[in-house]
Amino acid sequence: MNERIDPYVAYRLQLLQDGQALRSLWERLGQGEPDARDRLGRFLHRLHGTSGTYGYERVSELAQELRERVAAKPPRILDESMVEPLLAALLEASLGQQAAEPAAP
Amino acid sequence: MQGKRILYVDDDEAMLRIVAATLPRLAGVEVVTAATGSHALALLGETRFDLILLDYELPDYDGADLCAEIRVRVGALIPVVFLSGHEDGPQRHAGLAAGANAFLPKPSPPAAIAAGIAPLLRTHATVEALR
Repeated sequence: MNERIDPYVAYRLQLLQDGQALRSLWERLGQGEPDARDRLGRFLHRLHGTSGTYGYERVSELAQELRERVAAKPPRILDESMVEPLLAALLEASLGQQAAEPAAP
Repeated sequence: MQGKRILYVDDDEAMLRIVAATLPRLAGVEVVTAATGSHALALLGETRFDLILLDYELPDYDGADLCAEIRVRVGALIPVVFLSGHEDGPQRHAGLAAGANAFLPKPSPPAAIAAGIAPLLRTHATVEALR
């Protein structure tokens, strides 16, 4: 871990990568790839926790909502409209258009 | 809580970064990080810590198993706190049953993490002073 990197700057870059990763995982799920649902669920679980810790509450909430849909039993039919709000929120956050909450009170 | 050192274990590098960057200011603690349970156990053999903060899902350890192993190695007095998104699941019960002192939700703002560990650090300091 490089401690000289500002964690908030580094995380904004990661949010951009997370958007690409989410798109890829979603496509794999649509292609019926084995374990795609579990992998997407784990990805969303991490995104929910980490983005919320950084103060990106909208990203965190949308990740949790999508995770619940992905993990629903019996499995629900998933369509593109379910992932688009989270992809948009990730892009906004990575571009600095969605401010993170301050870390300190 | 100046002079206190905590060990934070999480396989998410972004989480390690933000906790290591903010808790020194918010909680007055030095933060040492580990990305695996094995690395954490190795650090426990080398360094004295005042509190251990654990994610539940690690690449090489289940959180409850790691907590139990920590208790075997460093005893019952050091506070162990989970920081996990599984706060509403069976993991919470398993973690506390394995010897954890508290289970903080993830996400929590860094200030809430600092507030969550502060009373345990104070209690631990008192216990250490009485030993």
